[in-house]
Amino acid sequence: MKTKFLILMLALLFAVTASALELTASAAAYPVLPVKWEFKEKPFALKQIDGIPFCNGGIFQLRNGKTILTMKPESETVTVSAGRIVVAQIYENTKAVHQLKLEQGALCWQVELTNTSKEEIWLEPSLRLLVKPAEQAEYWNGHSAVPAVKAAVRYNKLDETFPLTALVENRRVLALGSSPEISTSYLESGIDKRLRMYYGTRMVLPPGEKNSFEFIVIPGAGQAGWRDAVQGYYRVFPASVKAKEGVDPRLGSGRYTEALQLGHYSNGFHNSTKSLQAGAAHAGLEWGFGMYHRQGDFYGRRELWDFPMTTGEVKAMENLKKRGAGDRSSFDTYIPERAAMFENADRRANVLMTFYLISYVEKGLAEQLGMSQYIFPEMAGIPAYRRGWGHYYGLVGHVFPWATPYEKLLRRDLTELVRDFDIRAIGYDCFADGDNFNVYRGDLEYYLPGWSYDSEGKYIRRGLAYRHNADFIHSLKKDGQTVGLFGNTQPVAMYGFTPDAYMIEGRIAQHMIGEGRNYVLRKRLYVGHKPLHLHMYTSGFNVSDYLNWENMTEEEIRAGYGDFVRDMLSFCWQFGTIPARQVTMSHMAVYRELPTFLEVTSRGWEPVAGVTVDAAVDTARYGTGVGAVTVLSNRERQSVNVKAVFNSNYLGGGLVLPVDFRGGELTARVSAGQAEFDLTLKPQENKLIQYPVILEDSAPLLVTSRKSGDIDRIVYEFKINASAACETTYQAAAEYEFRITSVTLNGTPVSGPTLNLRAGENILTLEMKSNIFRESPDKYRSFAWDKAAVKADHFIGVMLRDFIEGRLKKMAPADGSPSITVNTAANASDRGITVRGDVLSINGSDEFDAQQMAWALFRYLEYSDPRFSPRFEANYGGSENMRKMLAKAGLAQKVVEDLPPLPGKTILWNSGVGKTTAPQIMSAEDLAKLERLTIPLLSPPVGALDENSPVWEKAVTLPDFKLRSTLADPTQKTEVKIFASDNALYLKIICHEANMDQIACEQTERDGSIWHDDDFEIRLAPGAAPDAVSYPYYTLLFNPKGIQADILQVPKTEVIMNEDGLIGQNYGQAARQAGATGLSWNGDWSVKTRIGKKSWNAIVTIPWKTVGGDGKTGGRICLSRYEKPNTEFTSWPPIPFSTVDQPALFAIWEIK
Amino acid sequence: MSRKKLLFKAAFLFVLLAGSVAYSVPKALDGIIGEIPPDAEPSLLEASTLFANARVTDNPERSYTGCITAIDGIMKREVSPQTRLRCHYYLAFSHFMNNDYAAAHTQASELLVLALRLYPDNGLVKYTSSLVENIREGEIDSLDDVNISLAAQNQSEAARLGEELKRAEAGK
Repeated sequence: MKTKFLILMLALLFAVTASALELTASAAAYPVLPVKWEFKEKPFALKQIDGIPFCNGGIFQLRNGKTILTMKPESETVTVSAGRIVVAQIYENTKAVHQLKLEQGALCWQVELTNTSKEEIWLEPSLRLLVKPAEQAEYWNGHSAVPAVKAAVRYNKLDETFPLTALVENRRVLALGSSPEISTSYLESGIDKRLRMYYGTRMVLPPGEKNSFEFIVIPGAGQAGWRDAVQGYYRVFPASVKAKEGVDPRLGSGRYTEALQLGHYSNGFHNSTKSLQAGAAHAGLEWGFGMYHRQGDFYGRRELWDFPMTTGEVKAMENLKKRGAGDRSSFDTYIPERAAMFENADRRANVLMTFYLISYVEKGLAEQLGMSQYIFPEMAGIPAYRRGWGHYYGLVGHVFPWATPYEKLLRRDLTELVRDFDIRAIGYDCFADGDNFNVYRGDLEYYLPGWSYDSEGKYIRRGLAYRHNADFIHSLKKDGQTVGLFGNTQPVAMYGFTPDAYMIEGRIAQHMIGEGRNYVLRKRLYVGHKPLHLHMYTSGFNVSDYLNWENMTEEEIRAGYGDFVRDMLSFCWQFGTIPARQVTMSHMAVYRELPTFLEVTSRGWEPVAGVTVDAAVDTARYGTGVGAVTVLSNRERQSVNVKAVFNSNYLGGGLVLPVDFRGGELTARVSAGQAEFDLTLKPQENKLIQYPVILEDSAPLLVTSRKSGDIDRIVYEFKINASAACETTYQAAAEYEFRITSVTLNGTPVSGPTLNLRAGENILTLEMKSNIFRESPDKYRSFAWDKAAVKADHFIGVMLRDFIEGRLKKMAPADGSPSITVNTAANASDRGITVRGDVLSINGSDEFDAQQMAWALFRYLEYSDPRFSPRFEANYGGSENMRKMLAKAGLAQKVVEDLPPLPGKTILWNSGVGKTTAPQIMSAEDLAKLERLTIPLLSPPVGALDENSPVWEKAVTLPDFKLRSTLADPTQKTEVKIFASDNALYLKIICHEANMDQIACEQTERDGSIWHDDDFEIRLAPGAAPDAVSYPYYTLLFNPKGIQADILQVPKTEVIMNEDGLIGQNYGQAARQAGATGLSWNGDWSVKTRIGKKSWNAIVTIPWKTVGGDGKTGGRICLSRYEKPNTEFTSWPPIPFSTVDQPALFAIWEIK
Repeated sequence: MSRKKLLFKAAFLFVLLAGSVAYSVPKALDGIIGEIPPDAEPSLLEASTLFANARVTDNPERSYTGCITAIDGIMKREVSPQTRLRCHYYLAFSHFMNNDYAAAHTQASELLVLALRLYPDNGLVKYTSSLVENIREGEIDSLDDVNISLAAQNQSEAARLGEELKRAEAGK
């Protein structure tokens, strides 16, 4: 009997377990669908996803990476408890433990794989969903969308790829990808030949080791296709798309701009005027730059300070000092100077200066600290050791930055830096691990999960190491704050979610058109709610490349430039990219928009705008719930009428009451799930619609709203016409640093969360008051600033004095009346800026709080009182063309005021895309300045031409080479003799070098990256006119071993720029495009080199037939040398720019 | 990469491995094709001689086309399964050298079927058979994977030998 009972119980238990093989989401964050997931056993698999009709279950597949055969589990146990399914499987040599759970409606399927053998194993785990996509279905691979029927069988790129894929059909979305934190070096996805949408990876497991991978499956619905999949991802992993808790808000909140090299280049933080400039642009952070003396000794230790430097390196160090980047020659002066720089930046300029870091280590230090074996080339073609990046001195190598001695170095140095200096964030450059970067195949000190493999064997990506770096940085604390991370360049899945803020180095015009916008969008997806700074100079505008300004009048250029600035603002609004100080302060349109821009975008960029429009208007959204704002950007140059429908499900559902954020009247038809409104958008206008109130339930309403207020108070008034009386609850959001002080409905105060709307018209009013500005604006404006006494016994007092004195050019004594006081320990009720009699008090809850209030006050005064207007900055331009364009338009070295369109004539800023202007002609004045060279026509010797051939005595000797940019004399001389024959041009070159043991000479292949070595470069344009400024030319390069590269370079205006403006922005970049021009051109020229003790020499023969013509028509020439031991880039003719690719300045040659 | 090409690649992997033995490189396939025993039947010796003498040439008597015709003739005789196995190998290789991949694939497939029958317990034969099966089923759809597998199993030597043979043959 007992046995029977047991059997019965077991059978019952089995039945319960079997029937419980499902997970059901009771709720999910829109657009994720709350659905039921059914599974089956032996082998364990997904049977069905409710609500996704085009998916018929899915399987976990484990393949042996060495045999590429699919493995079958030998045994399997399944347990279900507390909303989690745990599956343990035993495979040959492998144990797999699966843990499945639902998170915000998404299935999180984690698998931990353990190597149970005594051999290294390679595994390919993947999750494969059986799909039946319809003809119109769309597939997105994390990078781009295609019809599902054309989906690639395998996509495994990392660059610009989000770790999620999506199949979209009939407003249903099935997304498959990985969680934000993964330990792998390889990802692949696609729709395989068996119509299985899959996501997978490759793992290498040493004996006994394990690794985990988490698959994510998101069922969704919505109106935005694959963007809904990403929106769902944001909802499932909210912490990954916002700054880490506790990070300095100047970095992570998005309410600040980047000071853009204010401090480390120009002593900005020792200079109050410049500090105030930074503040005026709402600057709150600074991209640090090489704040150390020796790479690899980031803390700065006396015992590691000295290392042998060449004369050129010493000179480079002196140059850093000259430009205000610190005197690194002495330990005793640099360390305190650096400490002062960080402190001043933080305390005086309110700029959080990040400590710039890159995982390079100076060669001698790498050897000393045992890191040499962990150095690997950063990119194909780059030598293992190269001249210091950032400092331009010291030979440095890139060390794999984790599980090597570099990890210990980082743990020690960063800990002590944060402890001893005013450092609250780390700036991480080379924060990239994309497809163009080499993978690491060397040894590590210990097993780091995440090795993958390819046909060359196993490898690990440094992106994984960066994630460990980031985790370590975030574990550091400074004054109770979490140390933050400011990342640069391209995010990939291995670490893309780790920085607290990102920068994008802005070639803004390129980003604004065609594929450039998608490039920014793909980056944006990773950044999420965090700030994305446009690390942007006005020189990066490059408007001159996109406008036919050469053929325009001054007025037309100005109109085109104004058109650009307005389009740039739309771009920033759409992608939440924050312009840096230099742009803000030189363009009044940007300056004026900035406070609104920061106020709105700091709510956090979202992948789905949620608003559909019936016209060609771009849309974006900031914010996830009540208080969110949608931006409608009319990029057209004429007004447009728009019917817009906002889907309130993206804010959590209900009836949203919209208002015009800028204060206009707005009428909307509101019902459950949507708000519909009609708008007229002016040309290039960015309309902001805010949703500050949401009603839980109601019959459809007609709502007319208006927003009003000032810095001290904001009032929302809604005229609500209800078809029937109803009772509903409401949610309202206060603006940042405001609090809701009163809610009235039809004149009666509302005390609870319930509103009783009557049939017909209702008036709902919300009033908010500022937590900071506790007085009416006129009290601040009428305060006697010029007579106010401020004590400088506290850093905030110093800041106040800087501001008042800097702007008003006078300052009262420190004691007296009226006065300004600072309180850094105010309780909540006293917090804010008050004016009581003659005393203005800044009452913060702590020092940081009081400091931020002071700056809020400064900014208010700057925008509201002309006496406090900042000194705006000149628009200096950048490229030669840009400067010429600005000069022609009367904009050079000027602050750019509003530049309205011309009446009746539209000048599009990018109307010159693909322009094919004829070669330009230079002025007679410029022509007269060009160097000239007469090359003698001689007969070469009958036998071999060598260095001692007598013919060289008749050749012409070139003048001395000069350093680029500065035109100063180099320490290492270059001698060149040159002559021509009927058939060829001949050069004898002597590159004097006092440090022959340090020359770089690692390139071994023709057309390799010769420019990474010591090299000599010949730029030659036979037949180019003396007065041409833009023409094709050949660049012939070789290193001391005579390895050659040759490039045909073509003016961008003729060939290089395609209609999207994507291919290169100048000659130098064009060289790297191996297309029809560039490196694919190979000339028949020869070079013989000899490496001596004090020089390396070359004899070069360039047959005329390989470069065209016979040389007798003359042409243009530039000879240059890149000397690496002293980092001297010299040329003849002298080139006053950072690159010698300035054909307008090439010398004129003729043969006689 | 079409599935047929992949299948061919897998089957040809088998051929290449066999080829490595034929050219006295590591004994990966000892007991399957192995060295030609001194007491081999005349047909096998004849086929081996034909194959060894075949070249990429216009001379029909020395060309792979001639070799194929002659070995096809041998296959029509009463020969031992081992001889038949080796003939399939020679034919697969010869068709490959003639750029007739479809015919090479047919021969390689038959080679594999016969090898499975003759040596059902041999690990390499079983592995190659599984590989082909996985490709047929669509579980393997990438040539890159096959290359990785070759590299991982340290059998790239065999693959490289095949390439060298191709080049050497082409150069003669």
